[in-house]
Amino acid sequence: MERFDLRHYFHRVKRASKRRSIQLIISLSFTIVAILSMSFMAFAFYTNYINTAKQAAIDNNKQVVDQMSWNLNSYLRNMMGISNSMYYSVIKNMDLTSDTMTKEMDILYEANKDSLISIACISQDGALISAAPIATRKAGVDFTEQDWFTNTEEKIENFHFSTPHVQNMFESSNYRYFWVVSLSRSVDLNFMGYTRRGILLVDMNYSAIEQMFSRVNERGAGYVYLVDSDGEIIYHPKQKAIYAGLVKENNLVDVTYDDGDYIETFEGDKRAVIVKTIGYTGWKIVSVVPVSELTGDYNQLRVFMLVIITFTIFLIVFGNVIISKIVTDPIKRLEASLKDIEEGALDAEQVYIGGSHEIRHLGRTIKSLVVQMRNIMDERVKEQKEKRKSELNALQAQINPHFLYNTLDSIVWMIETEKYPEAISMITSLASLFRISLSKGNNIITIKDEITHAKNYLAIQKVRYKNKFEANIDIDPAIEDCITIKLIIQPLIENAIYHAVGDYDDEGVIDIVGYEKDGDIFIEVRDNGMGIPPETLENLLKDKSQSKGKGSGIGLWNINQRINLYFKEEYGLTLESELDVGTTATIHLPKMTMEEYQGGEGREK
Amino acid sequence: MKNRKIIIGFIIAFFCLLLIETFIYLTYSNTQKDEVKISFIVTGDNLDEWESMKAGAETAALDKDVSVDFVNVPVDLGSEGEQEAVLRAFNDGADYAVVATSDYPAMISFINERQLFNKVFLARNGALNATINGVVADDEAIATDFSRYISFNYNCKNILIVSSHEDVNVDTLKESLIENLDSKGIKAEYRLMSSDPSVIKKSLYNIEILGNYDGIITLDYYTMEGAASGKLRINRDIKVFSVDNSQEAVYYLDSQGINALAFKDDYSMGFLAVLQITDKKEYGNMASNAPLYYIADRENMYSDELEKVLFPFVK
Repeated sequence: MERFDLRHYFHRVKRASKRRSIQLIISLSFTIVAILSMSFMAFAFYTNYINTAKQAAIDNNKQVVDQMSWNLNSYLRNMMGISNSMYYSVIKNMDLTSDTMTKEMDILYEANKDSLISIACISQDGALISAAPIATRKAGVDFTEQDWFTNTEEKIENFHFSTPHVQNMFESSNYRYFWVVSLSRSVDLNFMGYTRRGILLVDMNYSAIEQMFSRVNERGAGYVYLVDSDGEIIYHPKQKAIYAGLVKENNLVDVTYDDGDYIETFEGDKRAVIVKTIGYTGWKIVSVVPVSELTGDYNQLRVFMLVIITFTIFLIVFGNVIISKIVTDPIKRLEASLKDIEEGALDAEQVYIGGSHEIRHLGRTIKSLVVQMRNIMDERVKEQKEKRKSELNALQAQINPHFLYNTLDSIVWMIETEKYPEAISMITSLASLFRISLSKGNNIITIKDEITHAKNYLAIQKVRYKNKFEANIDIDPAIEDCITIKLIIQPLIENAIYHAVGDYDDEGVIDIVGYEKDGDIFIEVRDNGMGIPPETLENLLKDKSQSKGKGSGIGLWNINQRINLYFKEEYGLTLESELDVGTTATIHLPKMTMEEYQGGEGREK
Repeated sequence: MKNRKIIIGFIIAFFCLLLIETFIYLTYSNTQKDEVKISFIVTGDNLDEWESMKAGAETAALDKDVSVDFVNVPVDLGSEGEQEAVLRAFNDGADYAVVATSDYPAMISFINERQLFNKVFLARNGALNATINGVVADDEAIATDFSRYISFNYNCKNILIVSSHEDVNVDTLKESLIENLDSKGIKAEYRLMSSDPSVIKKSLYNIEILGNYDGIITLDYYTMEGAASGKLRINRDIKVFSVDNSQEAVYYLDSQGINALAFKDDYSMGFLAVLQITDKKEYGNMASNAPLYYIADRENMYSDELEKVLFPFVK
């Protein structure tokens, strides 16, 4: 199992990041820009939308609080109206030494008993003057010790509203106790023209306030509660739990707020608080909605937006990949073309031209450059080739003087020994040899001429070597009109004579065979000499641009090079040799007539 | 060729993304949580007796996606009636049941037998620190505090502890009271009364007339009513102390038929019972701090602290 090499992967990523492609750069940068822009827009849109929604929810709650305030105001005004009626219509016009207010009080109570628990009038010293419904004061209850009494005595000009409490002043027969909010005021009591102060107490049924708030709190999100000016809770949907210490409320802070809406953090939760003060009581209605619930209905929108954003990002990424591919593909293909050129394939047709205008223009320019380079290189090669040919021809030319010297030496020797006919024959052959060698300056001649040249050479050499060897020439007449490079058979014969059969006594044989095979021409020069050792044989055709003298194989190399220069690489000279058996040098040439060669058939270079 | 691969890859990725997004959309757009249904099984012929516990449970359920319903089992049906009501509640779709049982041992064996340990909880009645989860006032603490209160405020030397029945709560209370009063030099003895209210009343009247005891501690409703009315009618000098949380007990306290009242807070117990099921962490924080009982007398019953506990809000 292959081990996970973190460093190796890190280096791979690092390398990959360094050779980042133009497509990667384009798609990555476009994607980043697009995602950033879209995220910014989505965030701005979402924030704006949620804030608007929050504000709408807060405004909605404000309306609810306003309505609550109006209802509560009406209720309290009604209670104050009852108190005013009792005071201004009954108590003020009554002499308490002779009259009783019980009847009027009962009427008022009966008319409002859904909202009232009791009405009572108490003298300044705490005596119960009248009460409705008629009730007995509980034993041990002292009115003057009650909070509503002391508060009223402290500020006699005001209405006083108490916090909710259990009405505990009168006897109850059915184990029932009522929660009330006491409205008390100071009143003037008339006793035979003397005015004494008393207190008029209206105990409002707390359940009326509770129901008012309960209905609102059944709406669901958040809740509304009521506090007095000291922050004491008058109503709260979890009032009892708060008093039992099970739930906490931020009432002491909320009461300090002026009317309006606020965002506060209480026990780690952010919540929107709306405060509205009830006139002349100082009570405050506080609406509380957790911020999470203000936007709770937008969860679906949030998820929907997330889905849309994800899809859009996906499309952007894909779009960017495709677009960058469209843009960069021509560049990549052009780069591939340049790579081919870099590797040496100077084929102008392979240079890619496509894509946008600029890249097409670039492609055409590169193509034009390739064509120019190709031409320059062809010219250069041609020049080199010509130079090479000249060099090889010069090498070839170096052989002739040596041969000429030997031949002339032989002729001199014949003349000295008065062998005039042989000398004449030799001179004739020599003349013929030079005629073919010159060939009007052409390097390409027919095989027939080349064979004639070989025959002349053999004739001379036979004279020189006193017919020590036998030479057989067997050339297929069908190839006689085909072309060959001049003076490539004669050096092979020369080698056969010098290195193989020249020193034999009437036993040396040189066979020169020419034939056609597989559409090509093969000319073999065989001898039955000593053969060439393999280590020598394998070096004979290797580069011998620097001449190393006789026996170095420069002649063979020269033949091979010349065939290669004029024809394709597949043509040339091959050597086979077996020790004590002989050597065969095979010339492989394309089959081509002079006309075909001059017309350019394609097998020549 | 390469382009075709990209397009096929895109289509596959698109459908994968579509599947994932659909899953996310369906999962997270549905913000409506499953509502937890809790049935409170309470014993009593009048559901109004459980108004405070109901108010507490409903208040706790307000923010919790919880619905609460109260089922009262007539006293005559006893423990079997309670067990049947529990099973019926589960059949009707309740997720949990909270039982204020009249027969603690029978309910415990029922829960064990039916393997309902995590489905049935106890409230008000039962033993503290029992294996079955429950919200129960600490009877030993009540007995300790009540004994201390009596010995500190009243010069009683001989106290009779009475109840009309025996159960785990009564047993704990009577034993702790006797032990605590004894440690304070007050002689206390326990007497099990008749289960007939009229017989109880007569018996207690007789005890008060005889004057052998200078104080009576009642441990349930019927003995409280007999002792309180006897005090008001027969012997105002005798001191009556009650462990009860009925409105009648509050009335007698107000009308001085009872000298002091150990009052178990049903509201908090109902509240905590719901919390115990729905929010164990919050429950853990609150349960250790919430006082589940109060000791009230005529002097402090209208105080800010006790007024809201003793007098439920009239609707």
